[in-house]
Amino acid sequence: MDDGQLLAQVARGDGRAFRDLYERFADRVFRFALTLLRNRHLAEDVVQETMVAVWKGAGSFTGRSRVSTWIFGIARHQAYRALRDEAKGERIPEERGEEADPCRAVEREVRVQRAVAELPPEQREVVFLAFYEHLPYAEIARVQGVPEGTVKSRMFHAKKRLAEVLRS
Amino acid sequence: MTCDQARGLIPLYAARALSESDGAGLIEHVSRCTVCQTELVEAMQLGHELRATFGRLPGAPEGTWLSVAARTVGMPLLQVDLGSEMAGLSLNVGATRTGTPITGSLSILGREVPVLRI
Repeated sequence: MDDGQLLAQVARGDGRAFRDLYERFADRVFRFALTLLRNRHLAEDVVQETMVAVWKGAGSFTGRSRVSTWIFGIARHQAYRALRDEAKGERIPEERGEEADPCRAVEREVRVQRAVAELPPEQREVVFLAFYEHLPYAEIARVQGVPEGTVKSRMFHAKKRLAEVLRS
Repeated sequence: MTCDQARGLIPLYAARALSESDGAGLIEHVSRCTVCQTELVEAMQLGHELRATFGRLPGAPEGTWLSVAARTVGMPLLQVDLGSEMAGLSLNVGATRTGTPITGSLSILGREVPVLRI
């Protein structure tokens, strides 16, 4: 069963379908939120809020984009809300960023992690959605709510920056 | 295809998000352009490393589903499944913050149809 069919069942109130959809997306949304927020507790909140919104809003999905685009769009909205709350002092994250474990990670991997972490959030999103989720620019543009050209520009600058950092 | 056009497509190719026809056009271009060829190789290497890095991030914590379930379908209190592979009836009772939703579904030859939602 594809994501669209599963979401249609969720829209009819099928709890088992919702659990299946959760299993398909929870880890991916968590990693996306973690990439953006660099905080596990906030990322878990984003997964919760996103999946509750998916349950409530499944009936409003029109099918004009991929299901994953729709879900990552919700997750992005929730992640930026968490960032705004944090900026207003409503939430105090318990950890600042995902620190690599030098015992478990090779030096190169640590450098890649750090290079990604140093990108502006919008560029980090593009890199995650393109390289990990394999979303084309048009779908990333829908997630970010910007023109496709902006996504291309963000990818260009992200790739340039990553290449510079990793070459140095 | 020009070098500018190729440079726009290289990150997508490295991300495996390029259509087959665009991918074929890009490969045709890089086969006779060493500058774009070098850029493609670097992008492929970067893509490989990024996928590995993102893939090693942890998944959602175990208890997250229970928190989501309590706000949506309900924490499972009771689940009854009757029937065989041909046809069956499933009844679920859950607990949410606002009540105890009861859902039932009928399955016939593997197709499940919701029949009850209270």
